[in-house]
Amino acid sequence: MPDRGDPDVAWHAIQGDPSAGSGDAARSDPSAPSIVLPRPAGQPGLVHAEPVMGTVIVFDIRDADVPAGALERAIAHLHDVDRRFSPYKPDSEVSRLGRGELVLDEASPDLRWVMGLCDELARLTDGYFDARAFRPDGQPDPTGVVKGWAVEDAAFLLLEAGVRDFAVNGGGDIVARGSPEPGSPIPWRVGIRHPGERDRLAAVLEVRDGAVATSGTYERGAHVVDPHTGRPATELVSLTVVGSSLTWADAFATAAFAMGRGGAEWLAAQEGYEAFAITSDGWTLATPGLERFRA
Amino acid sequence: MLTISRCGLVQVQVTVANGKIRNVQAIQYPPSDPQSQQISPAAGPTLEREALQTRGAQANAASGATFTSEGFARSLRSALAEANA
Repeated sequence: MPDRGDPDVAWHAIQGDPSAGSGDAARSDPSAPSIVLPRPAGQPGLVHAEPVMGTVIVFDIRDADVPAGALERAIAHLHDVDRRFSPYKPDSEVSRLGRGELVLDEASPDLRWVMGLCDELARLTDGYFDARAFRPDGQPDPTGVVKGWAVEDAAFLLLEAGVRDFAVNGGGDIVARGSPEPGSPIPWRVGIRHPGERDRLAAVLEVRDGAVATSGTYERGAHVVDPHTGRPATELVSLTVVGSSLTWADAFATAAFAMGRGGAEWLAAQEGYEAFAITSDGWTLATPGLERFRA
Repeated sequence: MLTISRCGLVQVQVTVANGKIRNVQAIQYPPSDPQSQQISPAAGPTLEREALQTRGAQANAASGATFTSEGFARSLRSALAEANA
């Protein structure tokens, strides 16, 4: 299963979220049930899976006491970003921007910040990250930064509320804080999925207070386009970035994936970020600094 | 394994026979031998070798290509079936 590598624990899915209470404003789509996965008996904390942004975002909180409302605020933020930034929702700010109904100067500060980030990434990546080239119709699509940014902000909301030891897994892009065993120096162990076999890992990274993001083709096909050729990037099947910020790790993973084999080399020059890539012919590439994250 | 050294990209080919590493050879990258471009994904030596090293390893979370909510539901169902088997 995608969010845990612990096969010895029996998990139970519960429809609905008993911790969220009634009249929960967090969920904009009542037809999409959330899933709460209780921790094994005797272990504190909670695991919550929230379907949003076309994927499932899993909160794995290890704190014994989770402040009231903390998780709900983080979830509400994800739905808010989804509603405003999805290029697949016709009434979102991003869709209105694409249709010319909204000019950037009049957009929300958040959207202006995100589009500014996209422009900065386009410069930094020599055009490999191009929010205006991801879609065949040329509409702006900041999706490549929005999910990482939203998940990172959801993690900040948990920190602000006083939650200390948790991981948020946004459909394969992870923010980890503190330790899976509160009070211990034990780091979070983040597996990098094997591209061919769902139940296997290609590598395991140890992360405290950091982020891991992966771009890959094996879940949704070759969807990352090389903006310089207009064709899907196919040299790699997976590229993982580890570093301090999920916003940057996610964006770097998308850009470096589009670069193909040169992507890991490009990442080696980005301070504070390391990469692990798997080529379509089964080779692995790693930046030298990745070693210090290896389990 | 492909790794980046101070000299640039270096590709190392590892030959495995009978489950043991028999030979480690440095190859210039990009590979000059067109044969090496034709290795099928299953034959990729470094991915499989690295994946074998993680066998039995415990992870708290898995990073990978973004999965859909349907994909999540599928894997959750299969994990539950396995746990109840």
